[in-house]
Amino acid sequence: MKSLSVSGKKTAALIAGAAMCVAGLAAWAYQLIAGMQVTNLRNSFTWGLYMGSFEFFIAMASGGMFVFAIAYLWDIKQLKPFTKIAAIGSLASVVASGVAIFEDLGEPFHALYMIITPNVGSPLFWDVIILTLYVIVCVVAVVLTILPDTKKHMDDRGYRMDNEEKCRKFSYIAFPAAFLVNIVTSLMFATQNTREWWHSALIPVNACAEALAVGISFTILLCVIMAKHETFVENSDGIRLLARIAAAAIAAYIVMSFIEIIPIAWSGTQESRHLLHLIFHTYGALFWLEILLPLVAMILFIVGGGLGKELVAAASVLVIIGIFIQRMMLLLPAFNSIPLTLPVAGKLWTFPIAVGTFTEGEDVFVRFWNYAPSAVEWIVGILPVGLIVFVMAGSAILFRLLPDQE
Amino acid sequence: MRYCMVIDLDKCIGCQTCAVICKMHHAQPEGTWWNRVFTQGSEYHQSAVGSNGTFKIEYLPVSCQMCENAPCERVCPTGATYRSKEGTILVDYNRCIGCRTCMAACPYGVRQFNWKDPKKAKAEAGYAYGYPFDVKDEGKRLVYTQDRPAGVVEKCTFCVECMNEDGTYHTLPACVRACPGKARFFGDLDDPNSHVSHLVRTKQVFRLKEEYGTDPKVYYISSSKPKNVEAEWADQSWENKTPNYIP
Ligand code: SF4
Ligand code: SF4
Ligand code: SF4
Repeated sequence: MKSLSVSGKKTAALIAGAAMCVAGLAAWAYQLIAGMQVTNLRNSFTWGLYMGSFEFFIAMASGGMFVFAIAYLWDIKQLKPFTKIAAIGSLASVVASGVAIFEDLGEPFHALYMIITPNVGSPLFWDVIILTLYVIVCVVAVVLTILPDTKKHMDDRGYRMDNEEKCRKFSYIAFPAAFLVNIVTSLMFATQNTREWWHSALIPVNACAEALAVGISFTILLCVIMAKHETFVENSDGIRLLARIAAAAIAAYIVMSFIEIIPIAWSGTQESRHLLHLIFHTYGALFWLEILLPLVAMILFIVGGGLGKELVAAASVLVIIGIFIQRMMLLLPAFNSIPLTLPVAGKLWTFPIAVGTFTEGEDVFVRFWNYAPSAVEWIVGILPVGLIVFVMAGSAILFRLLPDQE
Repeated sequence: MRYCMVIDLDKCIGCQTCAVICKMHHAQPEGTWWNRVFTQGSEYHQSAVGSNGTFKIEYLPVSCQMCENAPCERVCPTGATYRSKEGTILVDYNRCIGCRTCMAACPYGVRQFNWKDPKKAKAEAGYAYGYPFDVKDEGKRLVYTQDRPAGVVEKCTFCVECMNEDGTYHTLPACVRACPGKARFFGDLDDPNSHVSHLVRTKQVFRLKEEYGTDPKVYYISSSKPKNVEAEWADQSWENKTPNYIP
C-alpha cells in the first residue's frame, strides 16, 4: 500500500473527524427522541461518560493555553513555533467539553433558562459562565497566533508583522484562565458535602495538576503528530521543558490523589470503609491504572524527554488515558456510596434508590448500580472526540500551523 | 408558614400504601417512586433483622425531606428547583434542563429523573392515571402536570395540588390520608398550636442525616416499641450477675 502524502493524511483525518461527528450527532438525536433511557445511567447513578468527558476535555483544554502563555511570558523561543497548535488544541478541547455537557442534559432545549433565570449560587451556573469566557480566551489566542499569517498583516515586502507583544500581554489573561476553568469546574464536586468522595478542598487544586499533566501531554502529542521531524528536533528543548512540567504535574497529582484518601481512611466510619472498598476493591483496577499510567509517563518524561518523539508521544498517550480514567473514577465510587445510610445492629445499611425505569426481572430499587456506558453512550461520546480531530485537521489544511509547513 | 411532616415509626406497619398512593396520585411512570418504604437493616422488605432471638422489624418511609438548607435548590443552575412561599421545595418542569446536579446533591435519593417520555410509557402500558390538572405556583411555575416531559427531574411536592391559592390545604397530602396506621401527620411547623409542632416539641423525634446540615422538615418519631415494663425490669436480673452500675 502506498503511504499517504501529508495533505492526504490531513484530508483523511478531516474525513474521519467528520464521520465521528456525524455518527455522534445521529446517536445524540436518537437519545433526544428516545429519552435518556438509552444510556446506562439511572437515578442512583446520574452522571457517567458524558460528565466524565466534560471534565476530561476541560482539563485537556488548559494545556494549550498554558503552553501559549508560558511561551510568551517566559519568552521561550523553542515553544513559540508550537503556540498556534496549542491555542487551536485548547479551543477544540473546550468546545468538545461544551458539547459533552450538552449531551448530558435531559432537556437541552431549556438551557436558555441558565441565562434567563440563573441561580447565581449554583456552581454549575458559574461553570457555564467561566466555560463561555474560556472559549472567548481561546478564540482570541487562536486569532492572535494566526493573524500574522494573513495578507493584511504582511508589510509591503511580504514579511509577517510580529504579534509578540500582543501575545505576551494576552498571556496575563490566558495563564490564570487556564487554571480558573479547572478550579470552577471542580468546585461543582468539591462543594457537595453529601458525597465523601467529592467533598474535599484538595479537588480543585488536584484538578489543576491533572489539567497541566493531561493538557500539556495533549499539546505535546499534537506537536509530535503535526510537526516535521526536523522542527521537532530543532525545538526539542522546548518540548523537553514541557515534558518536565508535565512530569512535575503528574507527581503532584499522584501525591494529592493519595492525600485525598488519607482523611477518608482515617475517619474509620463504616461509610468511609465502604467508600474505600469501592475505590480499592470494586474499582481497584481502574484506580491503579489512573495512578500507574501517569507514573510510567512521568518516568518517561523525565528520563526520555530528549530520547525522541515516539517515546514522548507514548508517554503523552499514557497520561491522556490515565487522566480520563481518573475523571471516570471521580464518578464511579461517588455514586455507589449512596449517602442515605443507617447503622442497624452495628452494620451499615443503605436505603435503596428507585432506578427510574422498569425491566422485567430486574430490581427497581438498588443499592449499587454497575455502570458502564451503553453502546449509544459510546457513540454519542465520540462526537466531542470527532470535533477535536475535525478542527485540528481542518486548521492544518487551512492554516500554516508550523513554520515547517507551506 | 413552613409545612412539615411527622412520621410516627411506632405506628408504621410498612404496608407501603403511602408509596403506592403517591405513585398513583401523581402519575409516576414505571420505575419511579417519590416515596419508598423499607425495613431498616434488612435486605428484603418485611423480613426481620437480628440474631439469637433478638429479632426486630422497623420500617422507614422516605420521600423528599423538604430541607430548609436544601442542597438540591442550591446547586440548581436555572432556579428550576426552588422554595415556595410555604417553604416547600418544588421543581418547575418548564425550567429544568435535566442536568441532574440536584440528584447528585440530594443525600436522600428522592429525586427521580424521567429517563423516557412518561406519556408514551403509560400509553404503551394501556392506561393513564393520576391527578389530571396542571398546577402552577404563583400562576407561573409548572410544579405539577400529569405527564411530565422526558428529561426533567421530579419528586414529592407535599401534594401541591391539594393546596389552595392562599397556601392553606383543602385536603391533606395523599400519603397522610391513605396511611392505615395513621402514622403520618402534616401541618405548619411555624404555628406553635399545630399538631405537628406539638409532636416535634413533645416527642422523641429525629431527622435523617442531620450531619449533612440539610435541616430537613420531615421528622420521625423514634420507635420505642413499648414492652411490658414489669417484665422488662425483671429481665435485668442484675443481682445474679456482675452489675454494670449500682442503682
Ligand atoms: S430531600 Fe433532597 S430533594 Fe428534598 S429538599 Fe432535601 S435535598 Fe432537596
Ligand atoms: S436537573 Fe433540573 S431541577 Fe435538577 S439541578 Fe438540573 S435544572 Fe435544576
Ligand atoms: S402508609 Fe403509613 S403505615 Fe403504611 S408504610 Fe406508609 S407510613 Fe407506614
